[in-house]
Amino acid sequence: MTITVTRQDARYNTLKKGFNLRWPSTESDAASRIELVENAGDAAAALQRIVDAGLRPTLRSGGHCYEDFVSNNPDGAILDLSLLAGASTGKPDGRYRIGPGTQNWNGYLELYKQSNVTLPGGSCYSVGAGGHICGGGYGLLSRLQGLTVDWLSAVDILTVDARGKVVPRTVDATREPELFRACRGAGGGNFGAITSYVFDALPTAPREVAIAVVAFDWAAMTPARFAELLSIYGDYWATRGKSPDTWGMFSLLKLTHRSSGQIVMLTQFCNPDGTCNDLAVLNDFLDRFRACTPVPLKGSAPGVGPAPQRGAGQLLCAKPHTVTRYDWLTATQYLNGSGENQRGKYKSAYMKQNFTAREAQRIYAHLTRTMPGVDLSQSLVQVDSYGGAVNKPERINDTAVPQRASIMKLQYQTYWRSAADDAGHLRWISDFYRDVYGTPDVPERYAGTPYPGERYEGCYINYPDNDMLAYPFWSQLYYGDQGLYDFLRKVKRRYDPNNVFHHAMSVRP
Amino acid sequence: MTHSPSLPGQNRRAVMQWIGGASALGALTPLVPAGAQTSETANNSAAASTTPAPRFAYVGTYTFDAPGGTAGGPASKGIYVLAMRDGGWTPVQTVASANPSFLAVHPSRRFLYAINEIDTYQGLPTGTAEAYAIDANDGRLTLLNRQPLSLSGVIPAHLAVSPDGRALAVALYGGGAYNVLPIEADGRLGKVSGIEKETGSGPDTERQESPHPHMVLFDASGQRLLGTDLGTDRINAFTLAEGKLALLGRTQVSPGSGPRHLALHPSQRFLYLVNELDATVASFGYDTASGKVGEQRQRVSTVPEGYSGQKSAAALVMHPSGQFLYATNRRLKSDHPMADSIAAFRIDAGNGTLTPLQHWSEGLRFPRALAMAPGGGHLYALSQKGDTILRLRIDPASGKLDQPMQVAQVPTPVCLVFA
Repeated sequence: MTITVTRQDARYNTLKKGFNLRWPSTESDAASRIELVENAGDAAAALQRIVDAGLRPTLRSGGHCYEDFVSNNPDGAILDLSLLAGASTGKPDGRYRIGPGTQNWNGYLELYKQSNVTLPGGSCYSVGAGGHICGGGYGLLSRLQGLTVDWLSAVDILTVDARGKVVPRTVDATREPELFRACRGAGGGNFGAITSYVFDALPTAPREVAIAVVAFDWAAMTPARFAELLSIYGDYWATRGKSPDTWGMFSLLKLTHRSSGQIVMLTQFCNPDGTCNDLAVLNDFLDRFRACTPVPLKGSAPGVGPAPQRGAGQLLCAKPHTVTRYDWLTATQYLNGSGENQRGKYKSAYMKQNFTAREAQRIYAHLTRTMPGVDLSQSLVQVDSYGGAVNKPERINDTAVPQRASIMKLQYQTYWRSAADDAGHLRWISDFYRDVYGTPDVPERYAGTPYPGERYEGCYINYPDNDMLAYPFWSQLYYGDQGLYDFLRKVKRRYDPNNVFHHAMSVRP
Repeated sequence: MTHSPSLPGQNRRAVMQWIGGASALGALTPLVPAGAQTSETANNSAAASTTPAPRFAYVGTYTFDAPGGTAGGPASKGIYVLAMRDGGWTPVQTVASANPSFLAVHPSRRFLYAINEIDTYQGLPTGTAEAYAIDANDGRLTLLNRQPLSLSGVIPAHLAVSPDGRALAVALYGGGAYNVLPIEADGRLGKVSGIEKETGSGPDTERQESPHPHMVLFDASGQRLLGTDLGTDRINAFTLAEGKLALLGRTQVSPGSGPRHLALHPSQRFLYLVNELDATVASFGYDTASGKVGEQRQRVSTVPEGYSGQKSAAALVMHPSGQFLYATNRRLKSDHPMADSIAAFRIDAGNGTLTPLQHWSEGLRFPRALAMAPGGGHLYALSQKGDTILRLRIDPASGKLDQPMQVAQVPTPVCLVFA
C-alpha cells in the first residue's frame, strides 16, 4: 500500500523535511507530496504515477542527506522508501537482503542476531541504507573490512526508460554491470530508486572491541602542541597504521572548536580475529599521545550517544585515558549517536599524507577563531582514520569509489538552530575549508579544494557540499580525474535518459 | 516567437486587460523602478489600444555555442535594441546577456523578457530568464531581475507571456520540462511556480533521446498553453491556473518529425506546426472551447521537390490576415540552392489547407527566425550565419515575398520582437 501525504495531512510538516533542518529552504521549495511505499511493487507504481504526472521525484530512505537534494523539491514528490526496511538473512538462497529504509542500527541488530554478520557501514543509528550504501558507506569496521559497496553483490533498482516507463531491474556484476558499478558508490538520486541491496556474503561481526576515549583540554592547547597532536595522529596512519594487524583499529579525532572545551579522540579496536586478546597495537597507538597531555573526558564526545550503563563493559585502563572492553554490539550501540535534528553544514576531504605544519596552523586558527554572535561550540573537524582494507586498488575498477589511497578522511561540520545564524556558520566553515586547502599545498588552479593529487584524494559524495559546484571541476573532486565521471555520465544517459532523477550534484546527463 | 500577441485584435484585448489589472493595483505603483514611468507608460499603453506602430526592435542572439554555428565574425554581446526608421534601423543599446535566444514583449509593452539558453547558473544545472523594463521614450532596456529556472532545467529555448501579462511560460529544451514564473506588477519575475517534467523519446537517436520542449504558445483564452516537443514528436496542451500547469492532452505527430514551432490561425480554428527534422508543416484543427488539438489534417514539405541533403526547418509565422504562412529552412549538410530559404504557403480560409506559394533564398544564411511586421506589410528574416536582418515585402494579394532590403546588421541574430 502507498500512503500519500499531502499538505492537508497532519504528518506533512514532519515528513516534508529530513535530518538537516535547513531544508526545505522555504515553504515554496517543499515537495507537494510524500509517497510512503511499503514494498518494491508499490514503489514502482508510485514512481510511475509521479513521472506520469510530470512531477520530479526525489528519493528518501533515512532522510540524512546533508544538502538539499531531497527536501528542496518545489511542488514535486518525495518517494519515501523508509518503510522498505529490514535485513533478511540467509534464506532461501543464502544471500542477505537489506531494504533501503533500513536504518544502520536496526540493520546491524538484525544481521547480528540472525547470522552473526555485519556490514562495515556508518555508526549513526538513523542513517538509512538507501543513500548510505550507494554513496560508498563506510564506518568503524571499514579499515578491517572495506566499504559497504565492496561487499555488495546485486541491487534491485527502479529506473525510468526512454519512453518514461518504470523498469524494475536486478543488476550485478554480470547483468547490466555498468549500472551495478555505478550503484557502488556514485551516490543517491542519480540513476533510479534502489529497492533492495543484496550481499552474497558479509563479514562476521567482531566478538568484542575496546573503546578508548582520550581528551585534550583546549585551555592547554598551544599552536605547537596542536600541531604535534595532528602530526602524531597522521603519522600513525601514514606508517604503522598501514600494517594489517592494525586494521581492526579505527579512530575518530574530533577537533572541536575551542569554545567546546576539549578535543576528543575516540578509538575502537579489535584484533583482526574480532577479539581483544592482544591490546598491544591499541596501547602503542595511545602511548604516542602522552606528549600531548591527554586528560579524561569531561561531558560526552560530540556525536556519541550516552555512555552505556555501568557494568556493560570492562574497564581496562582509567588514566589518563579510559579503555573499556565491550561486547561488539554494545559498543556499536554506544557509538551510534546521530546527534539531534538541527541545521548543519558539512565538508569533506580525503588525505593521502600526514598533516603539514601549515595545515595544522590553519586548522588551529579557525578552531580558535571567534565570530561575534556565532556559537561555534558544536563545530568541529572530525578526522577519521582510513585505509586498510578500503585501499584495495582493484576496487577502483569495479566500484564507483575511486578514493583508495587515503589514510585519513576529514569531515568538517558545524551545527546551529536558527535560520538567523545560517550566514555566520556558513561563512565560518567555508573560510576554514578554503584556507586549509589553499596554496601551496594545493596548486593555484585548484586552490580552495582538496583536488586529487599527491596529498589529497578529493571529497566524499555522501558528505556533499554544494559550495564545490562553484568549481568547474567539482565532479573530479568527488569522482577523481581518471575517467570515472565520464563512465557515470554514460550510465546516466543510458539508464535515466530523461534525467528524471536529478539534484544539484547529480551526475549530469 | 509570441505569435498571438502580435495579432492586432488579440493584442488590443490583452492590453486592455492589463491596463485594468494595473489600475486595480494602483497601490503597487511606487514599486515600479525608475525608468519604467508607470503612469505615463500606462497612458501611452492606453493610447496603444489605438495601435500605434512599434518604434523599437529587440534582437535576441547567441553569444556563444550557437547551435548550427555563426558567421564567424565578432561574437554577439547580448540583446540589441534598434530604433526602426525607414531605410534602415539605428542602434540604440547593446545589453549584455548570455545567449538571449528568445525574447517576448509584455502585453503592456512596458517589459521585455528573455531566456538565457545556458546549462549552468551559479554552479547549478539550470537556465535562467531575465526581466527588463522598456523605456517608452527611447526604447532602452533596464534589467529588473534574473531568475533561475527549475533545477536541471537547462537550455531553455522559448518563452511566452500569458495574455493577461501575469505569467511567463518557458520551454526547457535541454531539461525536458516546462516552467511557469509569475510576473509581478512591477514586471519582475517571481520564483518558478509551476514545473512540468516530461519523459519520452523518438526514433532519431541523436536528436530525440529525451524530451526537448521547443516552443510555448498561449491560445486566445489565455488559460491554455500549447507546447511542442521535438524529442517526443508531441504537441502538448496544458491549462494554466494559479501559476501551475496541468496536462490537458497530448497529440502524437509523425514519428521522427521533430515538432519545433507552432502558429495559431487568427480564427483559432487551425493550428500549424513546423517540424524541424523532416522539414514539414503540419496542420491540425483546434477547438477553442476545449483546447483540444485535432487530428493531423495535412503535412506539406518546407523544401522544394527534388531537394537533397539534410533537412532543418526552423521558424513558422502567420500573416495577420490568416491568408499566408511562412516557414524557414536552414542549410545543414546540403548543397541545394534552397537549403537556406523561406517557404511561403497560402491558407484556405474555409478549411485551413496549405498550398505552397514560393521559396525565397536570396540574402539568407541559416535563417533561424522570422518576424512579422505588425501591420503584415513585411516579413523579417534573421540570418544566424549572415549576421543580418532582411526585410521582405509581402505582396498583399498573393502573399509572395519580394523587394529584399537589409535593415540591420546584428551578430548571430535569432529572435526579433517589437515594442
